[in-house]
This record gives sequence, structure tokens and C-alpha cells, in this order.
Amino acid sequence: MSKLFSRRRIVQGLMAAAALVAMPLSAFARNSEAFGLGDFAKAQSTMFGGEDIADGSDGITLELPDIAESPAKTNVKVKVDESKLGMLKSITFMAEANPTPISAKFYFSARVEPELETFIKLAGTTMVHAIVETDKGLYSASKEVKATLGGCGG
Amino acid sequence: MSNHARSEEIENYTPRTRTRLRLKEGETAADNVLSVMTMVVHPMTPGIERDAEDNPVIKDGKVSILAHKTHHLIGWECKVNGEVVLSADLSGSVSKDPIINFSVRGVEGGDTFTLSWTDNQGFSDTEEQVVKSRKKK
Repeated sequence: MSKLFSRRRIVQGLMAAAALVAMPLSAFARNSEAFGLGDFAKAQSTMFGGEDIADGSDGITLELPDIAESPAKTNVKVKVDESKLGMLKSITFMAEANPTPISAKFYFSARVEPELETFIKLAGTTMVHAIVETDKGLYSASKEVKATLGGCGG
Repeated sequence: MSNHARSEEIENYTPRTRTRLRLKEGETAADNVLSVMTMVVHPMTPGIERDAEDNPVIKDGKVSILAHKTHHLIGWECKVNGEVVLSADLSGSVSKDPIINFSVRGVEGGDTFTLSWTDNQGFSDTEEQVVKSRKKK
């Protein structure tokens, strides 16, 4: 005689579910302060502790459309030449004209190829920056994207 | 912050996560490259408060966010055999249904690939897959 939903089973199930919920992800929301700022310069200096950001345009390939057909879904691809800039640690995407300029920050381990593709929203014509952190310092590459309609609704 | 109840869209949300893995195998396992395409089905609503002219409302130097409307991923993380390979902090200005594509070196058939994420309304999801080798033995 076996009960499928015995009290013990239910308790075990609940405990397993609680363990899953409690499982921490490494370091979520590491820069929540910078993410909430509306001013581009302030958001950038808060994110990078006011450190200098060098021109990295010869070591960073930043692919964005000249004109964003659908600004709410703008394709961005970035590739870092590690032989020029050093070992990649992180890439941060920023759009100057967005209400909150920081879109996302990606943290790379040594096993990941130094390139990434994603999609971001643009609130109109704006400079888009990829800020690259390597073991040698901070570098940026930028491109202006023209957009007639904003894509940051909601 | 407002006292409104969470929007219907948030209450009715069901987390969904998709990953597509493709292993390109070299001479040795160290030469292998795993191409990863990921998508989380998510509204990515920034919930920015706007004034009558549709401009974002700024309070104390920060963009005002409507707590009952904002719903976007904040943390995103990929692991191979339990080791974090790529992680991200995301905002509401990443596009709806976030797609993130990248490649990992030195992955072998049989390795476990895991994508986990969490959002600012307490939803989260984990998708785990075993990497398939396409080499004939």
C-alpha cells in the first residue's frame, strides 16, 4: 500500500522547492546604483568609479545599424581583439539618449570567446557605447544610431 | 514607489527559457567551441514614470520607476559543469524577450550547460541541457 501523496513526500517536495528558490546566483545586481541613474556621464562614472576610459576603437568591433528600423529591438554585436586590448573582463552597453543609459553589463570568463550579440532598446537617435574592461584598463567604442521612433515604451 | 497592486501582465507571467547549443569539435577537446544562443521569454518592462509631456520623471537624480509596472531581468548567468562562464546585469532597456548569443571554448559532449536568471519581481528560471557531441564514435 503506497500513498502517492504521503505527508512525507509533500514535505520532501516542499523542501526541494525551497532549496531551489534559495539557490543564490553569483552576484546579481552588482551595480544597481549606476543602473538607476538618468544622466549619462554620472551613470558612466558611477559604474566605472570615475576611471579614465581610453579610445578602444582599433581593438573593439562594434556592429550596430546606421538607422534602427525597430529601435525597441536594435541588434548589437561586439568583438574585442584581446591581442590589442588585453584579456576581456566585461562589456557594458550604454545608450546616451535612453532614460537610463546603462543597458547591460556582461562579465566574461577566460573560456568565453571575446564576442557577444544581443538586442537593446533605443529611445531615439543616440550614441551607443560599448565599454570594455580588460586586465589592462577601460576602453570604449561608439557609434551613432539614428532612430525616428523611440523604443523604450512602458 | 506606489501602492498599486502588481499589474495584470506581471501577475500572469510564466517564465520560459530557451537555449540552443551547437558544438563545433576540433582535434582535441580544448579546440572545441560551443556556440550558444539563448532567449528568455520576458516583457522587459522598465516601468518608467512619465510626465504629461511623456518625459521621464526624475527624483533625486534618479529616474522614477513605477514599482507595480516595472518587470525586467536583473541577473542572468550561464554555467558549464557548474562553473560560471558568462554572466550579466540587465536593465529594462534590453529588448523584450532578451536574446544573448556567445561562444565557449573547451566544452565537451556530455558537459552540462545551465542558464539561470532572475527578475525584479521575484520570478526566476533555470534551463539545463547536456551538450551533445556530433562526432561518430
